[in-house]
Amino acid sequence: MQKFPPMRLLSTAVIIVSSIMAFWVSPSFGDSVGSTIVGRVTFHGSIPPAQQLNVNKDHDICGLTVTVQPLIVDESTHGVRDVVINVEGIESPTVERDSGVEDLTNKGCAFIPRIGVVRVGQILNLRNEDPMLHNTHIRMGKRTFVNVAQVVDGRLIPRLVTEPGFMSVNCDKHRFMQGYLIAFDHPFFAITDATGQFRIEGLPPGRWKASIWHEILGTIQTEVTVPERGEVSVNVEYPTP
Amino acid sequence: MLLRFHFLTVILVIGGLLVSNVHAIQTEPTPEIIARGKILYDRSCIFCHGVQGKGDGPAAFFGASYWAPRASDFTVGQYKFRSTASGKSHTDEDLFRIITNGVPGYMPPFVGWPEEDRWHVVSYVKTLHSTNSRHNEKPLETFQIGTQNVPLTVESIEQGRQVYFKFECDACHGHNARGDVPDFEAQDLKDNLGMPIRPTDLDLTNPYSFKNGAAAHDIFGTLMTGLIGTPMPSYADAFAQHEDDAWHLVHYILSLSQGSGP
Ligand code: HEC
Ligand code: HEC
Repeated sequence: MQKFPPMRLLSTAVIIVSSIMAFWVSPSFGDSVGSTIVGRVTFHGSIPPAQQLNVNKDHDICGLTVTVQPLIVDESTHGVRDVVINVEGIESPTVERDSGVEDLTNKGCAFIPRIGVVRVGQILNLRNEDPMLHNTHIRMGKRTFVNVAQVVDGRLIPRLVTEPGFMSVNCDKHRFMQGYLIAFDHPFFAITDATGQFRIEGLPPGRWKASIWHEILGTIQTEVTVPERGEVSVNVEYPTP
Repeated sequence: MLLRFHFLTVILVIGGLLVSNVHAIQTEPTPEIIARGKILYDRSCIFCHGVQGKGDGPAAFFGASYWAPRASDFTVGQYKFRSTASGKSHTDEDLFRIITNGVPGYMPPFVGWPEEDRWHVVSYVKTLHSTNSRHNEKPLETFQIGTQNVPLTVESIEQGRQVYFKFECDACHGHNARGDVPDFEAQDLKDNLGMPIRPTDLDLTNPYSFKNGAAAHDIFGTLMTGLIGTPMPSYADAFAQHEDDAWHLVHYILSLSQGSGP
């Protein structure tokens, strides 16, 4: 089972299960099985200044410094982008999320997406759109998932994700490049969009543990009660430090 | 020039021999074999690799503790010197090969041991792995294509030189392939344990120091698989359908040693 890396656990988070709109429909109606959690993760605190990192080489392409801001908050909704939500401990998934493909692209001397979520069984397509070499080096603890040279105009490099876990994504040629890849062995996860919203479908009824992770805001653990059928709205407010 | 080519032929022949040696028959590991392997391991490997194979033997606390690489941690179950794709585990032959050849500068070769003993110690080392990495992998397909058929010519070396810069080997190995990267400090290359890589680790002009072997076939292997645990990436995808370019590059690297080879 996927666990987020050890990090300060926030107990004071405000978690509002604001509305339970359980609607009962006859099974013949529905193509969707199970229930859905929707919600938004918000933060009202002040945002720390972005980090400026020195670029050690390839200044013509990467610039002299890169700016890293892991905390991206939408101005009007206060929604936080790139928060990963994981509903844990569901034994038998009721839906199979399509075992599709996810991209991880080297572009502008950064990994896109910077925080990626994949499911075991999916193919991760490693790409390079920069006019120079990158080496995509992905590790899970002491084990290496892959370290491949991505040459200029090279073909994309597909890799099957075989193990769940929290992975660090780096390029040894450009040490300032950092990304994360989180692999799950179940379909009940999501990552928030630019307005902090997320949606997880096909959940079986029950009381489930959920963990919510953001790179610098930390991890929140909570429980959600999922009805037989319908939509639960879970809104999470990260505490201001 | 002529002399150098002569020396290269010798390397190719030795390389061939090593490879055939590696394909020896392996016995099924019975408890007796593993027990025998443990006796050999405790006698000859513990000093560097440690009781549990974590790479923390007494040797790690002498000079070796501050410089990469430390004796490999077998419990991770992933190997630097392999024939398999980046991120995959190993073949038993990979372990046999490195135990036979050793790692120049870091680990003595055990070529003097009876083959059977070397296989027994392979069986024991595998019991130290974490459970999810005990299975035997398949080698990369490019190894099954067979031996090279790119002749060693001046043109081939020149083409190899162009590949060296096209694929930006110089980014880490330097313009002259001696680890001569401008601003090396800022580059900040590290291995998986966070230990710094030194310019001498990147010197490709001294085949004596090639850990993964200095035969043409060995260098081809290093390029294809990469060296897990270090920044050296696998170029297998970059060379796919252009394997000839990889052999040109191998010729170029061998030409850099100017006849100072083993
Ligand atoms: C003098 C210290 C020393 C002794 C003795 C020694 N080793 Fe090693 N061994 C090393 C070091 C250091 C490395 C790592 C080299 C590297 O990573 O570049 C290594 C690497 C290896 C590897 C390859 C790991 C890889 O990642 O590909 C194997 C397999 C291995 N040793 C097995 C053995 C066995 C079996 C014995 C006993 C028969 C043994 N070693 C004895 C120091 C030693
Ligand atoms: C991102 C940095 C990087 C790039 C790019 C790179 N290398 Fe390496 N390479 C390394 C490192 C680091 C090592 C040494 C690992 C060690 O000894 O611990 C290495 C080791 C090697 C070795 C093995 C020597 C031995 O000890 O057996 C060869 C051969 C080699 N590289 C060739 C190349 C070639 C040819 C290219 C271009 C196609 C290339 N490398 C690209 C970082 C790189």
